[in-house]
Amino acid sequence: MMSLDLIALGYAAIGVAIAIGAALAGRRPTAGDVLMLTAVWPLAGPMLLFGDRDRADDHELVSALARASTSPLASVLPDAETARVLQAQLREASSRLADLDHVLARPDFDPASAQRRASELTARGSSAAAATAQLRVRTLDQLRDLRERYRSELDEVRELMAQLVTQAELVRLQPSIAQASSELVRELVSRVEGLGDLFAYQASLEYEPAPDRSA
Amino acid sequence: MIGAAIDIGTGTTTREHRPPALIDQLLRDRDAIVARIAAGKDLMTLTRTMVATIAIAAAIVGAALGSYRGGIQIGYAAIKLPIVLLGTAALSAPALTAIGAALGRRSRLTADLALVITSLAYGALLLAACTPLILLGRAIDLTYHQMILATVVMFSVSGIASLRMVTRALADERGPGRTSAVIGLCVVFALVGGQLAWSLRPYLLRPRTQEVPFLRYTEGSLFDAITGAIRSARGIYTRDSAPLGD
Repeated sequence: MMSLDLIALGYAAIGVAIAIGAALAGRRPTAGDVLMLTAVWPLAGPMLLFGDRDRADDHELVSALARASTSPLASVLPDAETARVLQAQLREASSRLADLDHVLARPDFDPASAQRRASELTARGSSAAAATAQLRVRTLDQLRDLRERYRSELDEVRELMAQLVTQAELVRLQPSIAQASSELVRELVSRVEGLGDLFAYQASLEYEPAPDRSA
Repeated sequence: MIGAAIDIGTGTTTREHRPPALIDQLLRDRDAIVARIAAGKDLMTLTRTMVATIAIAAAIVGAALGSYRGGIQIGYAAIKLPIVLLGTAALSAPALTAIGAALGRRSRLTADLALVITSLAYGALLLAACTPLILLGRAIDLTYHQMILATVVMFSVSGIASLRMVTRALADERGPGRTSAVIGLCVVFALVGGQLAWSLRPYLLRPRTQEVPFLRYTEGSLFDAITGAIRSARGIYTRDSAPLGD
């Protein structure tokens, strides 16, 4: 029967082996990851090895382009480097939308409560506090507007990607329409590039200081 | 203005992502943690924090249980209890994913793992909150059996709270396989957690115990012990006499 120290040694060795495997696979585990893997590899191992793979959204554009590249549409598709840049853009937008969803789900970010609070303060005659509360209401509106814009842009991009995959199958059956389908590819690329405008819009939402209370 | 309120998409570590803030969020706003897991955001950081939470909280509870006997048993129980909780998470989460996937639920091993670990961390924090009760029991000289009963009640409450967090999180999901996955998880959770805890006992020893073993000799499974106890309660004994105890 194996002794406890031998079992512990074997256990730790499996964790180190997973860390080495992850490093060889290009995952670049940090010192903290290696420590986690050595101590609790049954929990940390799947996180490190499959964490990215579970987020299918991260690869959707690349996989749509890869499927289209096996059809006669290949000649009108963007090159691999452009696809990688576009994918990064798409991932960033998805991440920002998830952040906004997360933040706006918080009860203290409810615009109706913020508006109620502003009205209460106005009715009470606390003008400085009411102005700050109104500023908060406007900020929440901006956040909601930003979220809707991200959602709408991402929905359009996803529909175009789905259409690209479908169109690739159609072109496979009828190669003569390949050139005509290039418009779809251009539209998709332009939409994804357009996400940069949304990032710029977000950056342009400058910090608005609270109203001056000294008056 | 937006930048003043939140930090969206900058890739920096926000206050909400730091371990103390995550633990605070686990206690105050579990819906936000569940939303974060569902979005698959930075699950490695979350997992790391929750594993550390389980390790520390369970070690505190284990040490408190071990203090009933005192001495080396404090250290033994402080080592074994975190292993039980982390082992339960490692073995239960794949069951949730596998049962769900077999029944048509969307397969997400890392999210399920993060959810199970987070819910167990919540349970471990509840247990840690009960530590003063364990110490109080020791201080007022509760008998061994009373301490056992009190411990069972505390662990049951924290186990139910953990499972409730998982079931609430999965209640937001749509699609097939969800209900079966939850039922499967509850069964696996109870069986694995129970058997693992049984295999690594003792945690609570009588103060008069002379020699403290790290692990007891294998005496069958938890199921064997329960059926044996039921038979004994009905007056059916398989031994000539009851054991003298530790």
